[in-house]
Amino acid sequence: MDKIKEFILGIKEKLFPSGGKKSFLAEMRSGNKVPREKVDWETWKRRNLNLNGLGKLVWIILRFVIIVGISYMILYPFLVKFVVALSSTEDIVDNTVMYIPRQGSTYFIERAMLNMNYWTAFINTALLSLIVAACQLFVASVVGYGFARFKFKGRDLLFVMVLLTLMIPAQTIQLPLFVRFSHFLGTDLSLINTYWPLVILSALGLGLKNGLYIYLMRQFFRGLPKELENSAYIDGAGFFRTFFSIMLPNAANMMITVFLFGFTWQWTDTTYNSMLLPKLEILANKAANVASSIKDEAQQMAINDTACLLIILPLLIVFLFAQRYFIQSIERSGLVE
Amino acid sequence: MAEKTAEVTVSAPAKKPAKKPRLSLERKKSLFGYVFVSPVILGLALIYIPSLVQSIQYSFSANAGRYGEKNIYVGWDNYHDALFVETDFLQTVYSSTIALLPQIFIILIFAFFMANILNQNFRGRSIARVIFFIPVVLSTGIVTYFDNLSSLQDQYQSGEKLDVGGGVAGFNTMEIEAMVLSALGSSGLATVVSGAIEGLYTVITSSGVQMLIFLSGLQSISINMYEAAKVEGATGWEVFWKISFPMISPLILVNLLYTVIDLFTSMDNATISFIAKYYENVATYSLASAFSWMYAVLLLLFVGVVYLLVNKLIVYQD
Repeated sequence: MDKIKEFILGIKEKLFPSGGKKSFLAEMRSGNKVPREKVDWETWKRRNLNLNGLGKLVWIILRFVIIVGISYMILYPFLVKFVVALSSTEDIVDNTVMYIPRQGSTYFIERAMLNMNYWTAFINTALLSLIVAACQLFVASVVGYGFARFKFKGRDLLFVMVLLTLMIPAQTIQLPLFVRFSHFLGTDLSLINTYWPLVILSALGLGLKNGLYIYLMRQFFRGLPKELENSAYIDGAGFFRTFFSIMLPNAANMMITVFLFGFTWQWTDTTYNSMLLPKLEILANKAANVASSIKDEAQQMAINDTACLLIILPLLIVFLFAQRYFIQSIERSGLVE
Repeated sequence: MAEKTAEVTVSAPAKKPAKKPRLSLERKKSLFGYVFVSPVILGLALIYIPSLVQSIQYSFSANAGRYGEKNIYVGWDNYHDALFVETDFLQTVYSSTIALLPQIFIILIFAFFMANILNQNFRGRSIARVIFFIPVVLSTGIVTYFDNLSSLQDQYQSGEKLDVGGGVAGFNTMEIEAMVLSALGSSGLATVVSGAIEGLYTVITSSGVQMLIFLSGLQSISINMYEAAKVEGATGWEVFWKISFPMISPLILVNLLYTVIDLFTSMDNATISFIAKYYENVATYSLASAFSWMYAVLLLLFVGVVYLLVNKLIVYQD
C-alpha cells in the first residue's frame, strides 16, 4: 500500500514539479527548452553570411511557413467552433460577422448542454474513461513487461495474437461480443448498457486499441537497460517487487502517455460504445442526436459545432496538462528498439 | 498453474544443458512470464477466440432466430451471396482500397517530413510540438463524426458567409483552384493540387501517431553518430541519407503497417460502414459476418504482403 502511495506521490510531483508555485505556462515550458549557444557578432557574420547561410535562411523561412500553416489548419476548426458557440442565433446568419460575434450569447451552449444532458453524460463519460484507461494502462504495462523481459514458450505466437486483435476489424466480433455480454456466462444477466463490458474487455487486454498500448509498453521496457533489474535481483527482490518498485517508476512518462491515449480515445470512441452500451448516457452516444430537435439548418449546424466543442474541451485541457510528459516520453522512450 | 509448470518441464530438456542454478532461474522466469501476460491469455482464450469462432459459425449459417440462437448450417451460401449476389460489396472494397492507397504513402511521407522538422532546434519548438500532437488525441471517433457532418465551419471555409463582409475566412477550394490554374496553366493539374490541399487536413489529422513514432525514433539515434559525421565533413544531405534514414527504417515498416490498419479499420472507412449497415439488420447478420470475414482475410493478406515486401528493404542494426 505504501508503495502505491509513494508511486502516486511521484507522479504528482512530476505533474507539478514546483508544487504549484510556478505559473501554468512556465510549468508547460520548463520541460522542453532548447539550449542556445551564445556567439558574438563577428563569429556569427563569418558563419552565416555566405551561400550556405543563405540556404539556411531560406530553409528557416520555409520551415516557419510550413509550421505556422499547419498549426493554423489544426487550430482553425477549434477557433471556428469556439466562435460559433459564443454566437447568437442572429450572428450565425449575419454575413458581416466574421470572428467576433456582434451580439453574442450562450444560447447554443445552453441548448447543446440541455440536449446532451451534459453534466450527467459528462460525469458518466469521465468515470467510464477513467476506469477503462486505468485498466488498459495496468494491463498494458504488466503484459508489455512480460513480453519484453521474459522468455517463455509461445511468447511470439501470443504477441502476434495481440497484434491480430488490432488488425481484425472490431465488427467481425461485434455480434458474438454482444451475445456474450447480453447473456453473461450463459445466464440471463445482461451487461449491455452498463460499464461492465468495457471494463472486462480492457482488463483482459481487448479494449479499444489495447494492442497498441501493449506494443508501446513492450517497446519501452525493451529499451531500458537490463542492469536495472539485475541489480534488484541480486539484492534479493522478487519479480513483482522489481517490476513495481524499479520498472514502473522508470516508465512513468510512458505510462502517462498510454493513460492519455486510453482516456481520450475512450472518451471519443464510437465503435465499442455504440456496440456494447448504446443506451448509456455518455457524451459519445448523446452527440449523434444532439441537433435532431432543431428545425433551422444553420442552428442545427451551430448546435453540432458547439456540442463537438463541449465534448473535446475537457480533453484539450487534459492534453495541455499531460503534454510535457507525453513529449518527454517520446524523447527518452525506447519506443524504438 | 499446474498446466503451466508441466509445459515448462517438458520444454526444459530440449534446451542446452546449462548449469543447475541458472536453469532454475530460467525456469522461474518463464513461469513468471506466463503470470505477467496472463490477462491477455485469459482474454484471448475466454473472449476473443471463442468470439472469432462464433463469428465464423454465423457466416456459415442462415438467419434463424435472433443472433444465432439456432444456427442452421448452410455451407458457403453466404459467401456465395456476398461474392455474386450483393455485388456492391466487392465494388465498395475495391473503390475504397484504391482511394486509400495513395493516402497511405502521403501520410507516411508527411509524417516522416514533419518528424524531421520537429526534431530540429528552433524557437517555439515546444509549442509547435504541442499543437502538432493535438490531432493524435482529438481526431478520433466522435470528432471525425462531427467533421463529416456539414457544419458552419464549412460555410466559413467555402466563403459563403463573406459575400458582404470581406476579408478571408479560410481556404476556399474554388479560389485555390483558380489560383493554381493561373500559376500552372493546366486545369487537370490544378484540380489535383487543390484536391491535395483539401486532403491535407485529413492527412494531418491521421498522421499523428506515425509522426510520434518517427520522432521518437529520431530522438533515439545516438548523438555520437552525428558528431562523427560532422568531424568527417559530411553534409546535411549525406547525414540524412546515411544516418537518419537507415537508422529509422525499421520504423517505416511499423508506421506503414499502422497506417494500413488504421485507415482500413476506422469507422469512416467506406467498407466498414457498408458492413455496419448489414449488421444493423437482424435479417442480414450472417451475410454481414461473411462480409466482415472476407474483408478481414483480405486485410490480413494485404498486411502480410506489405510486411514481406518491405521487410526486405529494411536495415536492421544487428
